[in-house]
Amino acid sequence: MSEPVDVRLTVNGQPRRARCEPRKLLVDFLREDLGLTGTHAGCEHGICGACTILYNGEAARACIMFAVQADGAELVTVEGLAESSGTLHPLQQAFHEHHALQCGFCTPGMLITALDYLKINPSPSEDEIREAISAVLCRCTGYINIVKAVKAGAEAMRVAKA
Amino acid sequence: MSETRGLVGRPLLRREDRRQLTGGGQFIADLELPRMLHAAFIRSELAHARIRSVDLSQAAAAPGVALALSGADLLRPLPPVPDTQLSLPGKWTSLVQHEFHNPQQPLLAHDKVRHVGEAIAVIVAESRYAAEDAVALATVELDPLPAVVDAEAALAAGATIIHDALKTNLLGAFSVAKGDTDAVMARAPHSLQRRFHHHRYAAMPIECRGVAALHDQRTDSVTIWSATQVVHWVRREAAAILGLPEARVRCLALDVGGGFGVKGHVYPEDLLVPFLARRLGRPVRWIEDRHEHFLCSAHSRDQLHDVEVGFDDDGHILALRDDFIVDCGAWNPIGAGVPYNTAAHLTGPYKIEHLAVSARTAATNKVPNSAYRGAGRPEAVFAMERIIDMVAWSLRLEPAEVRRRNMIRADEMPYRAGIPYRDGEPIVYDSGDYPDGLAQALEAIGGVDAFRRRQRQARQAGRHLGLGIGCYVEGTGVGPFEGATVRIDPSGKVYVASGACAQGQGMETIFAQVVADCGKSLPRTFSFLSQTLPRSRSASVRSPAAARLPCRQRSTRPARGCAGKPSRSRPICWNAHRPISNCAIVGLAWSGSRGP
Repeated sequence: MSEPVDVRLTVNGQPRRARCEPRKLLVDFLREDLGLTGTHAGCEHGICGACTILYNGEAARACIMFAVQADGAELVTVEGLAESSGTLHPLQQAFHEHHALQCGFCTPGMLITALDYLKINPSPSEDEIREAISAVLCRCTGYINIVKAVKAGAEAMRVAKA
Repeated sequence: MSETRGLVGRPLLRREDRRQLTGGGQFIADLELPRMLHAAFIRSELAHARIRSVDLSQAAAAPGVALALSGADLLRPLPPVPDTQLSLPGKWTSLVQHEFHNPQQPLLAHDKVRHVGEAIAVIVAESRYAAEDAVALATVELDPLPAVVDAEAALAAGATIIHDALKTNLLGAFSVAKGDTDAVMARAPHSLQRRFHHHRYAAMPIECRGVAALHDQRTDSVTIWSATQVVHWVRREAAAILGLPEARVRCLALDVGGGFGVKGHVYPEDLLVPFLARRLGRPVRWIEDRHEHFLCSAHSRDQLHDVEVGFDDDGHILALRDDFIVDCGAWNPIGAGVPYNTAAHLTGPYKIEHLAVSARTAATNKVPNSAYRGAGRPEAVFAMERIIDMVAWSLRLEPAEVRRRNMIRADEMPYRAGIPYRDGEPIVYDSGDYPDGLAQALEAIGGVDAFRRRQRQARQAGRHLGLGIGCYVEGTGVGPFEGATVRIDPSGKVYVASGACAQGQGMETIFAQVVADCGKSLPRTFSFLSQTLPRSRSASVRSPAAARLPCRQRSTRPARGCAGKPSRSRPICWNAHRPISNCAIVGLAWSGSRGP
């Protein structure tokens, strides 16, 4: 154990600051120190993808990073997707409408991973969606509705952009 | 479902989605209680060993550690209580020849460890990080014993005994039969014997297990939050372990990140954490990490079937015998549940008049075996469907046709299976047209003849195209009732509490639909909680299959079962076999009637 250090970063557009041990995992820091419990720890070794967040705009696994590595970074977690008015992000709405979640534990990682992929491929095929979300494990749905939702969400995002 | 014009049966968007989509769900690891401590375990690295010593002195002195406790330390304040794990329905025990030993797993191992990952000691500290630091400072000396990893070997003479007091590794046995299998088998024109092994499975929900507990000193009552499928079972065992009346133990399941059966029974941690909270006077939480889950959360399946079938020239099955062994691992947390499910589902949609099934449950040094998706049923189906294929091949008949010939016909409904279900009630198939179901499935692949032609063509082209057929009739949970309390406050808000726990099935939406049908409109404000009920009028009190029960049995259960007046809860009773309308129930509830 060593002395706590300051970590300053931007999360979901808000500047945040907290003190933690240098060994503290980013996922624990987000959940315990910043109170953002939407990011879930499923495997704690970078496999299941439930803890996926956007780190300076790219998908990253918060369970295999230290919080200190995020010092100065800009993060987006699942809590940052909906509008402040409460309106769901088109991808969240598509997940809702296509029954793309059951227990909801993998859902934050699934949403962030899909969003990250849609930035580089706004109009993916079903196969491409499957490949992209293979980074996140879901034990409930069998993925079919998730694939449908990502496809529908991508379309809604394209329409919103147009 | 098409039976009502109400909300039940209509596809609705789920009420639980918004919180889960926005990061607002509350799983056990999200629960923060004031002054909460965190537990971590020291676990066995050996499958079978005698515990020579456990030295926690350094661990106890580590920064932030509130308590370090070994199994031996725990024996004094918490002597082992008589078996609370095994609960066999009375009616079943009177009908099925059986014998079960059920060694009670200590909350921490104190004499021996019997599987890898079994907990030997616990550390409670100010943070999980501090607790894990202290775990690394513990010293455990184990004297290895031979490990038994094969169920047949476990039952052989001279096998190493896992539970010394029992002097046997045979933890349970039962047999169930109908007709005269011996005689019919002996005179059947053909017979076959085959052995089938169904390997182990692990459920692996994305959320691991976890439990938190809070003790209220003033009332000496305990609240337990567990990522469990069985809140009533947790309460019952916790009350027994703590020596508290059930009324002073409450158990809640928050959002649970998948269950699949692995969270469908009570684990030692479910009981130890409340004990620690009471002893320390501070809330305690333990969140299983994935490493622990891999190591020691329950597995399932692992059955060895020796099947014998007698049949005629046309492939009609005349008699069936199945002697199977369940490798239950070191402990048998759900008793007869899994093997009896296997026995009760063996014949599935087939009419088999002479049947003899016997099951043995063997202790080995593997991780305990409990439920996983189907909880014994898929093993039965696998054995049955394989043997049907073999009957067909031996007679050079089409496997689909042999299935059809053996199926219970629609005009034979209701069909009495001739053996009891696991609640002891006779199994009666009330309706169904299995041959038609099979025909529809075969039609969906273009007909079996056409498929066989394709298969032959593919084979000529060097491709092996397979056709597997599996037929399945499932009895779901036990019942035939499910309880809930429904309260309506003066503002019109409806509160439903049920022991049926959701792990993604959408029960909040389902129960809202049911309640809405009572009131004929979807309540504007509605609150659902999976928790123990003040009075345990719930199938989930007993049933580890709670995951499925309310959805598959009939979603109208809470309305039909126990509704209440707004001012005081007054359960009404009903007969599940006499359907009454939801509106009638509302009337009954409000008039305080006892129901039909």
